[in-house]
Amino acid sequence: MAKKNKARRNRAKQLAGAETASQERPAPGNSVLLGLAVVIPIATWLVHPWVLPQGSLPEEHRPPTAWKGAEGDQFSKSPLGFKQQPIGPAPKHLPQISNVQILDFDEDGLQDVIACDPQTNRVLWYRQGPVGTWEEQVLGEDLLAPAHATVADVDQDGDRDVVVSILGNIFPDDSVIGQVVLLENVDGQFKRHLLLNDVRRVADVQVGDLDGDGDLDMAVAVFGYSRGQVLWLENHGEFRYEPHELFYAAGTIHVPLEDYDGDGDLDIATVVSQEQEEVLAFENLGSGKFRKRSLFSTINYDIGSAGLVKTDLDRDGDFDFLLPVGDNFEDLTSVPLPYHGCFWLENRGDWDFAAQRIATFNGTYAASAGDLDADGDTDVVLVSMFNAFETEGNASVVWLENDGQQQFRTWQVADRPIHLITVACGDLDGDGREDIVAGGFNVQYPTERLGRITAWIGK
Amino acid sequence: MRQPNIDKRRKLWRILWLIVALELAWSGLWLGYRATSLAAPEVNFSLVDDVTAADLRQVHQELMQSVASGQADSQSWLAMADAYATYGYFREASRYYRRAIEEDPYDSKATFRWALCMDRLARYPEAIELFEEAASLARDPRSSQACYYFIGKIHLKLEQPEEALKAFQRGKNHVPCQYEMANLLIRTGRVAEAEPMLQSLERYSNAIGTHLIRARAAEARGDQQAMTLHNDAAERGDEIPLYLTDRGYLKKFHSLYGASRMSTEGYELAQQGKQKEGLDILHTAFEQNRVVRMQPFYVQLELAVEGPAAAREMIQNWFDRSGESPEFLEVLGDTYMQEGAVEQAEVAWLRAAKLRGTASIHEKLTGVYQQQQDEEKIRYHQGGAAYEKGVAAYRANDLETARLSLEIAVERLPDKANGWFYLGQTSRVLGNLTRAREAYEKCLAIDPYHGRANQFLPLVVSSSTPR
Repeated sequence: MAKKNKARRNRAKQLAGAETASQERPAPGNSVLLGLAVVIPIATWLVHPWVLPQGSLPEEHRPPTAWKGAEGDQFSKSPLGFKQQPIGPAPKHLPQISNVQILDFDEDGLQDVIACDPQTNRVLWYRQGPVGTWEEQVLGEDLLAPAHATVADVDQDGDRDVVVSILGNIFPDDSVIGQVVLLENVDGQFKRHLLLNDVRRVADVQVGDLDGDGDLDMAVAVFGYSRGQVLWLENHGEFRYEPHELFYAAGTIHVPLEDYDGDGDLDIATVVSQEQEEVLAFENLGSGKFRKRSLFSTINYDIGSAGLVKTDLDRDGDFDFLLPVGDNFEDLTSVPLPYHGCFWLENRGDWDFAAQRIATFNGTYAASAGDLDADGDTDVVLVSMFNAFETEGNASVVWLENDGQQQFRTWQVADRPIHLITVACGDLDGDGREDIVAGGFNVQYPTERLGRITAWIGK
Repeated sequence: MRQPNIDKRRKLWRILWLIVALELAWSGLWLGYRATSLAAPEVNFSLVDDVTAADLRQVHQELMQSVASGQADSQSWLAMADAYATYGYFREASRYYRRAIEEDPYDSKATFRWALCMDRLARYPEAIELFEEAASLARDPRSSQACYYFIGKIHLKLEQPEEALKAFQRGKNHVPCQYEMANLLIRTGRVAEAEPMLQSLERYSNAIGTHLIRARAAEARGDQQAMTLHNDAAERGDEIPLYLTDRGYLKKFHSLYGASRMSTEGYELAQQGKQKEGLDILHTAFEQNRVVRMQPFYVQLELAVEGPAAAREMIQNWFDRSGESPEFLEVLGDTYMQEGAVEQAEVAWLRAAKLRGTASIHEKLTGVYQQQQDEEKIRYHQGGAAYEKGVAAYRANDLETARLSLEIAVERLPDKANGWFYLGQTSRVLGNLTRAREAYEKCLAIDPYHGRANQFLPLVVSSSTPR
């Protein structure tokens, strides 16, 4: 019995020992568990950024007929080669060039560039010489937000003067802050004359003899904002001009002068934006009398007329118009829209102008005509202010190749710089093919791919 | 002695196992939740400044938290949708609007804003359908009228005049609908039909838009004189928009995010007397947003907190970025004046006046020349200030103030043709045709080629000018 009890005790001891041993075993011992308790949260914290959220809202169902251009326009690469080069200094900040023109300002046989720079309140002359090199000269300063500069021998003394359209504020503003300033060329120095003030923002002035008395008068587009005008300024000599109102409406952008009806005198055309969206002409009846005519009109208040360019696109001897449409600056955010692009208003005589869309291009802001491929017909260049530029590769400059029958194919010239507001064509290098110059106007995001004045020289 | 230790260890062992198990469960759940949670849409934030981008991400994060906690409702989804729409991310916004409406199919606001979004995406049939739905859900008539208004505007974009008219007609007496109908009828040669709509704008009889549309109607009727007078009245009209835009609905969200939010915060702090704190926030906001425009109060705050030199540096930086302007040249003059540098202040203010004179600049220059006792310049700038005040009052239709200021202006500057012209205009509208005629004639004696004086003088000579 005693032997049995001893054996039982020994057995109990063994069991107790075994249990103690099992409690003291290191794996999975308390220290390991303690380690895990610390490591698991840390590891989770470290790993969690790598576990990406996979859920998403269902994709929008887009009907097959829905417009797909909201992502921006891209076109086939131009078969014509262009060498891109900046003109003038590189931008220090976000560049804001309101207008560029190509012309031989000093008549030395080389084309120059005239630019309006609201960022410095200056009108600048980029004098070319030798070919491909540019020297900046200031034609006028302290011109508050210049929109346009028109070069003409205003005082008919044999040299070139400059008439500057002054907005007074580059941003939307209905205040009476516009001016027309003449920079009179006096032996190469430019003397300032204030020709018109007490008007709203002036977007364009063109020069021509409108009353047939032999001196040069002017037509003025007072863009304003909620209110605006078209005026003609009658020249009374000694830089005195009498303004006459032809039309009262906001948003007149350009006033190209030409003998549109072929009767031997200059008529005035204009485009009215700001939701009226109409192209008007003021037919010259002689002796300072004009008759208003509507050439094109759309009830699409949102089409965004952005300018009016006279050109004989079909080379039939009369002047037509290019109407770029694509301005939607007034919206909180500027987005592509299906009706942006360019119309050709074909002059069919007797004040009948037929509108034909020649391009669809988001955010089209300016057009210029020129024979880019030197094939004897007139092509068109368009630039875009808004083309969903958050997507790289979307076009900012395109040219429309004319097949000779006014059927156009759109080719992409460049996707940068972006936010282009003004364009001009001209033969910068004298090779017989017209080149392109454009100006950047950067007041919205993206604030990248910047350019101030850029040339594309045909290769 | 050993047994209690064993028990303790055993207990600890169990607790640790429990903790590890709980941690594993939590970790699995957390990672699982992350993996299945809603990913922020791949948005290209190059359309906004960095602060706005961060704010938009934050809104998404908050939405996800409310989804996780089961508290997300239609308003949570709507907030995200509105935020995206405000910055032009319409495709992204559209998906969140859809989700908001799934949460609350009777939310007319969400439906309306989704329709606006579809409109901006040029998905017009869907936009019309949504506007119709929003109109049927709307509790107040104005909201449903706004829906019909936007349906009409879509038809205008699609160049469908008859459908547009029908939609505007459904808007009944809604002023923007009446305005658009009148505009469309006049444009399509139906001016007589537009007459009831023109009359309905009587409530806004001095709005610029009312005068302009009445001028267009007068022109369409061939009544040139009425057209001239309505256009002239528009010059003194009130800036009351007679139309609606999506901007009107979304702009309020702008101040909730990014640099706009910071600007608002900075401005409010400054208003509460915490100028330094406010200024710091404004500095950050201005540095972050490359396209934001400088506001005069910002420079004034810098001047008050950091002093004239810092304010000048800020103005110069702004001039480098965006060109000189009379507003900031005036403040530049103020910074010099604060230091007693009168000559430099004078230079800045003269430069401002060269670009564009304002009453305030002329008054400051008057002060400078009063110190110098230069009577000729005092007279010139007092006249300039009175002229600018008079013209501003005339344009604001405050005719008696205008008349008083312009009388002073022509007394100080009798050779200023435009002073006489505006005195003529003011007197004419006040009904004093004799003084008006005198003033126009004085104007034309100085400048025989003053176009508008030549235009308006015959109206008072005939003494038949309606007021």
